[in-house]
Amino acid sequence: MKLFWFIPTFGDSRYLASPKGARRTTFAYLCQIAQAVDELGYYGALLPTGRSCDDAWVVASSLFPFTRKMRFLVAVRPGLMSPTLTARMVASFDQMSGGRLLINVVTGGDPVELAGDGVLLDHDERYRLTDEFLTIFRRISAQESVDFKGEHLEVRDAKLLFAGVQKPYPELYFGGSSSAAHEVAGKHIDVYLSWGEPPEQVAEKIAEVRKIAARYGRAVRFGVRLHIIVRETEKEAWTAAEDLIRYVTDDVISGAQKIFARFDSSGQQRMSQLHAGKREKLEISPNLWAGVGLVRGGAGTALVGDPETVAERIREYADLGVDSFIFSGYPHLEEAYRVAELLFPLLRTTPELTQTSPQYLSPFGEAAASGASPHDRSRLRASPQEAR
Amino acid sequence: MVQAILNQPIQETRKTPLVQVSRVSKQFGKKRVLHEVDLEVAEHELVVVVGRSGCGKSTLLRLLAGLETATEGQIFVDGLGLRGANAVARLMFQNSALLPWKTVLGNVVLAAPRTSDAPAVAMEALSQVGLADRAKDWPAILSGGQQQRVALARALASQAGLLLLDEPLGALDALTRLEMQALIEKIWIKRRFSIVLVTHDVEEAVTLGDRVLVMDRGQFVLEKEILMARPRTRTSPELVELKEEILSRVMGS
Repeated sequence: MKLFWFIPTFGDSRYLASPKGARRTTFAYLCQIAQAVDELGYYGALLPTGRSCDDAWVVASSLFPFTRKMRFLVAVRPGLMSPTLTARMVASFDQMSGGRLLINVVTGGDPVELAGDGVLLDHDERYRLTDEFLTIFRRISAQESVDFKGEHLEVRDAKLLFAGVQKPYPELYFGGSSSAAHEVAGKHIDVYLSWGEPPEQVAEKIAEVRKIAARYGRAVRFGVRLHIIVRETEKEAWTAAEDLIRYVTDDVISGAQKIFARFDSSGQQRMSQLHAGKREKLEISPNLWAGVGLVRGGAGTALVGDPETVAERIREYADLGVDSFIFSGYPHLEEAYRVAELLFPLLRTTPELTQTSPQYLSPFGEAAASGASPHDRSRLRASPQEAR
Repeated sequence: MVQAILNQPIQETRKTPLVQVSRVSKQFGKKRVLHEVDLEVAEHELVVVVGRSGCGKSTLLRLLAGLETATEGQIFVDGLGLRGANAVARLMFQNSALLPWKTVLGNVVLAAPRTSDAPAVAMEALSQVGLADRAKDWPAILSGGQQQRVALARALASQAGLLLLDEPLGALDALTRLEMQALIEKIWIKRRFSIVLVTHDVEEAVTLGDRVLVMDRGQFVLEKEILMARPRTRTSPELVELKEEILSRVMGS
């Protein structure tokens, strides 16, 4: 199981849709989050993309030198970036970071934003563009020189001179709920992502994509993107969920829903349908709460509950074939710690998480009155084999 | 499931032509066989090239198959510049080129994608050409027409998006030829791959083609689009007129 966190380059706060508890996402703050993600042993973190975020490549490049192990899941944008330039950027980041890049292929779901960026294609055309982009990108990365003359893209003798660490290229992640998107996923993608829809809906999409991938003789892995509101007790968790949206007014909800309605993204429509703009029935599936989606586009659902229950829900997705989870929570620094503390011990995860590997005895846990430490120190004894 | 694979239309709704031949010239030593040829083949299009012997039409087909490289110009398949063998295409010749040491089924299985489904896919392809009951036979005992049908089944089993047919019916008698034309058309309608058919038979060309191109000394000199419904009536005035026009252009060259 690969667990990701999230770098909130579009802002962070304690409450949704309110200046109360709002937090500036300065470099210093984002670096804190990245270092938390790195230290706590998450597999990596996703950086969002779009005009309401700081640029993912710039931010990821500024952060990776301050981390050692975490991977950065960064968006490439067909239509905005040339595939050849993208291959160079990918190879460079991968080299510089020591092989810690993962690629998120983002086609885009908001025609208004896309038009501003210079992409004036309809939904299906954008996926055909993405298909052409990935055809060129994957071949260049495999050290072929490519001529391509397609509907949207044309390149002549395109090649990549300096390869990255991961060969032939870092894993390609991709989300999209329409059939045009599924076709691209089956043909090109390594990890297909879904927002946190109820398990049955996610299962349908997984089956679809698997079928298409089989046509191309490929295997695809699966990931889910979800918020987490986990507390020591069920009651505290639900209180926290309600708390998160306590300053959200009906006006803000309807304003946000109007904006999401103009997206021609199939995934966004599915998210919006879950809560239908209403506060009333927000628990749309056991422990799956759609309150975030009332005001936030994209990932709009959260798993809410005590650690055992949330872990159980996560395992339900895992049973469907999902091996990657991209989590987030508000505020992103504190919740990175809380999720690691409460959930990591319950989930079978990568060895990184169970190793403490200190090279020296460091304080662990709060010592009572500078006398004894509350914990057994023997398991913290540095072992000679553990090297940094 | 196998039925579904073979009966399923090949991917559609793409606007990039399946094949783009862009100012292609081909020279063998001093001899220029093709001269700045342009051609586009769309998904599910049946394009026919007619011309006298030696006009360059077979060379064009070999270039499309990736068996030769253009001296000048480029060929794009699904947008990608073709380098080497064309993975999307299958070539069929006048001679069926079946392996005599393999059974009919054995010949077809070779072309099917290498999965555990391959024999089933091969049997399904044989059924589509009406030779499922001859699966265990050796090619040597089949008639010419039957051998060509096995060759067609082989091309079908490969699930190729582009069939390149180089005078495939030339060695067959007139009646078998007509049956084979109907069979090719029927399967093409169902499976929706693209075909480039090279033939000297003008009647065959107008019966089958969405577009007929006349090649003369390495260049296209006439192109006719045929918008008639299928299957076409050989005696229909429109078809007869087209045939005459094309024939006189071929003869006149």
